[in-house]
Order: sequence, then structure tokens, then C-alpha cells
Amino acid sequence: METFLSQLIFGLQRGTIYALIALGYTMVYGVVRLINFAYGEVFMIGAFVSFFLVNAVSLPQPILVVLALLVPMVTCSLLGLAMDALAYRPLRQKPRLAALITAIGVSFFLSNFVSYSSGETVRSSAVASFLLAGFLILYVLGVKVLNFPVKATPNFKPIKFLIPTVSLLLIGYIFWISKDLLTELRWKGSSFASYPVDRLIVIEKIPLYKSVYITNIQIMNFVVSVLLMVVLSYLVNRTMTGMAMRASKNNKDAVALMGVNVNRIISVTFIIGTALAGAAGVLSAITYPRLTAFMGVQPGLKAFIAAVLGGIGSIEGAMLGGIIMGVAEQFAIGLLPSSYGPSRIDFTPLADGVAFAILIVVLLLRPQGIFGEPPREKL
Amino acid sequence: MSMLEVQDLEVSYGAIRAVKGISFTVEKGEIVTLIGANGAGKSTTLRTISGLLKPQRGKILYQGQDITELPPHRIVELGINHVPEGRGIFTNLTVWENLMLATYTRKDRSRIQEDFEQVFTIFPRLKERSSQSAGTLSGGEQQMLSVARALMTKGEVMLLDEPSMGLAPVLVDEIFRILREINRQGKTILLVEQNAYRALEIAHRGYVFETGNIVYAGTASELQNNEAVKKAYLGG
Repeated sequence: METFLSQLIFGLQRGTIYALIALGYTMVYGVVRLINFAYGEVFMIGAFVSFFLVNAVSLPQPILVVLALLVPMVTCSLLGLAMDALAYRPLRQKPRLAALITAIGVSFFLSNFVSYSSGETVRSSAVASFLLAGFLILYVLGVKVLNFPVKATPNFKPIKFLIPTVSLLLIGYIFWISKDLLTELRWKGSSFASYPVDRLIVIEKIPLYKSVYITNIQIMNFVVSVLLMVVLSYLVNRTMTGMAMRASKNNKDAVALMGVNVNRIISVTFIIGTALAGAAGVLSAITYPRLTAFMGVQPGLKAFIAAVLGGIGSIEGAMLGGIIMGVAEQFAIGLLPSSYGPSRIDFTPLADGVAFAILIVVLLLRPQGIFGEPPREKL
Repeated sequence: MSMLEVQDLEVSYGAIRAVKGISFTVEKGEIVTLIGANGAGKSTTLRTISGLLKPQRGKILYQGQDITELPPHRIVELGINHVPEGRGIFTNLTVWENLMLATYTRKDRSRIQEDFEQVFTIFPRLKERSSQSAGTLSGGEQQMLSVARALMTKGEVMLLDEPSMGLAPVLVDEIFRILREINRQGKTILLVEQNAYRALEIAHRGYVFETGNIVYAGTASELQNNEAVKKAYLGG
């Protein structure tokens, strides 16, 4: 009973992290019918951005906790916007397979980019980002103040340059604060970084029932995930943008005929999905502080399976699927003999297989998932 | 200045030319109908006006403004509402949400409640079902919802693509009665119909399409009495 309860707590924690990533998969799929395989990498980048920030900035703990969560979310949503604009939007009218393969490419690119970056390359990237931002600012000033070049003036809207400039500054800043740390770590593809959890929070165990306890980190994890999911449900169910998002699942042409800029809705979907994956990365890094360039691969795949299990396209499905997946996996870890046991052989890595076993069973018995609609016959 | 003016419009799907250089106008307050057989290019024309398709050649002017290159959502903002073929209902949203989404471009948020009331007086069935999923509506009710949505958007011009398709004759009567009523209240209507007989009953003018070209144009009564049109489209 006690083991059951503590495994359940750990499983739920794992599950909420999967659920947050799965939401990204399912929302983007709902609107553009694309499996954006790069969420695992967004998750990883979220963890790293938080890592650099927490190491580089010294602020009172409560503020730092909030920033450690918010800055990665914002950075990841900018990454999501860029991903959509550069990789997927040009392929929107092309066969879906093209976008799918591109998504796999984006995913490989991001993990390898992090694995091959070093103090030196990151420093140059920071300089490049600042220079570009500076160029944009000068350009806007040039047009506004000097009226140069004259031809561009009539339809010129400085506001359009705000988001790219701020993004470049933020990204440059993150590169800049990470360069010394990377040099210090002698970062290589195979290396790992330890997330400085103690700078954020002192781990406390709160006893619940006999030997069962919950940590303050787990509580924070649950509070943040539930909060994010509540905000998401409000956004999707109660706002105009959310309505347009759900309608796009059904008929994108008709959404455009309602006067909705469908590309903007797609961008918002990417922003939300990547922000959630970034948050999941931070939450995960606080619990499992070992960061590597490829730390997102497994969670990314499992969250995808969670989304399929819940019914891809369904938001409730992604939440439930993630939780089921996390709990199932944690119980498998608990039940399998570990190297500390009598067998002296560690079987716990087999728990990774649980996710794929679930995938196979779902595909065989209910391919549309728990909340998915059965595929409709086209007449 | 015409409400809507199409000049020398040519639209292709890949190598197939669906519309081959047509021109026509719609004046303020008119009901104009485009009639003709399946595949004559009527729907393609509507989809090009509302920006879902881009023409190879030609121009579309709305109140004198060139809208040919604008994306669909900008064209809706300017005041053209398209009630698409097959109704384009969001079956996973409620009836109320369908109507609400149609107000997306509107700035006068405070007037929306009023317009809901007004639309519900025209379509009482939709009021009864406003919290139901739109997928549970019958074909006729879905068509009503599609027209009601266009009313909620409050444009100047309404484009309708085959509103009578798949409906029982009683419901077709009902839809056409409502269209005439909406037109009396000042809305300009461009109506695409295969049911040429019914369309000409309510239209002021009409254009007859044949394989991507306009072959006849005239007032509704001229077309109703034209021997060739009668033979081909009005059943003798």
C-alpha cells in the first residue's frame, strides 16, 4: 500500500510532464495535421535555458523560481514561432509527409546544435544575434528619422519589427550568459550539466501517510502543471482564438471565411505547444537534474505516444494519456527488479519499453485513442 | 462604382482552366445569380472572390478597391461573406460558438447580443439548439446556421454557394424566402445555384455559365424567357 502510494505520486509527476509535452503534439496536430517531432528538443532547450539563467543570475529565490520557469517558456515559444515560419509554413500546401520528415530533421538539428555548441560558438552566436537586432533597430530608426530608403516609407509599420528585435535580443542574451558556463563545463556532445536545484529551492519531504511522502518539488510540479492546463482550457474553450483553433480542426477554409487569419491561429498553437514543452523541460530538470543534449528524445517519444493514447487532436486526451503513461511507467520501474535487489541485474531500463507496449496495444485495439474520433469515411 | 466587379477572371487548378476569362458586376442591393451545370466554374468564381483561390489573370474590385491579392480574412473584414458549398459548419463546435466565431472581425462587440437576438428571430430553430453541437443539426438547420453566421459577420455582400443543395423543397422555399428578406433589408447577394429555376425567381439579374465562360447575361425575366436557357437549364 505504501509503495503503491509513493509510486503513484512519482508516476503522477512523471505523467504531468508527459502531459505537458503531449499537449503540444496534439494541439498542432489538431490544427495543421502535423506531428511536430521536435517537442522533445524544445523540452531539452527549455531545461538548458533555465539552467543558464539560474546559474548566471542571482536574485531572491521566489523571483528566480518564477523567472526560471517563465524565461524558458518565452524562449521556447519564440523557437516555436521560428520553427513554424522557417520549416513548416513553406511546406503547408505540400504533401504531409514532407512536413513530417522536416519535423524529424528539425528535431535532429536542435539536439545536435546543442551537442556541438561550445563556449566559443555560443559567444559568436550571441554577437551575431545582437548585431542583427542592432541592425533592425538602426533600420527602423533610419526609416523613421532619416526617411531612408524613401520607397519603403508608405506602408512601413515599426511595430512589425518589435517581435523579431526583442526575440533576437533575448536569444542573444541567453547565448551570452551561457558562453562562460559552456566553457567552464568543457561542453562536448557527450557531456552533461547538473541543474543547480539548490539555488532555486531546498528540497523538503513532507510526510503524508506512514512512510509515504511528497516533496515540495513535486508539489510545485503539480501546481504549475495544473495551473498551465487550467489556463490552456480557458484559452481553448472560452476565447475567440481558442474557438478558431477548435474550428480549424474541422474546416480550415471555413475558418478563413469567418475572417480569421488562419496562419496567426497556427502560430498561436505553436507558441502554446512549445511554451508548454519548455515548462515541462524545466520541471523535469528540477526533478532529474542531469541535462544532456539528447535528454528530450525519450520524453518526446513518450509524450507522442501519450498523445496517440489519448487520441491525437484531443486536448483532454493528451492530459489523460500523459498521466496514464507516467503512472504505468513508474509502476513498471517499481515492479522490475533493480540492481539493488537479489538478482543484482538492473531491469529498470525495461520500463522504457512500457510506453511502446502501450503504443502497440492502442494501435491494435483503438487506433483513434481514448478521446479520438474514429476515422470518417470520405464520401 | 459597382459593389463587386469581376474583370477578365481566369482561374486554373493545375493544368485545368476552370474559369476562362469572365467579367461581370454586382450592383448595390441586387440579387445576382450565377447559374449553369456542375463544373461550369461557378463555385470556383466564388472561391476566388473570397480569396480562397488565386486567379491566373484578371481583377476583382470591391467598391472600387482591388481585392484580388488579399487573403480571405482581409476580404471578410472588408465586408464580403461567403456561405460556402457544403455549408462549412464547424460540427465540433456548438451552434452558439459557430455564430460567435462569425463575429471575429467585428469591432462593435457591444452590438453582438442584439444581433444574436435578431438572428434568432429569423431562425428560431437555432435558438432552441444554440447549446447543441452543430454536428447534430439536420441538413436544413445547418444551412440556416451557415446563412445566420454570414449575418452575424455583418458584411455588405453575401456570396452563397448552392444553398438549396440536398434540401427538401419546403426548406428550399424557406431559405429562398429568407434570402429575399435579407436582400430587402439592404444586403447585396451573389447566389450560385444549380437550381436555376428557383434562383431566377428571386434574382434581379443572372449570368449563365458554361465550361468556364459566361454564355448569357440578362435580367432574371429575360433569362427565364430565353429559349436556349429554358431548354438547357429550366427543363424546357
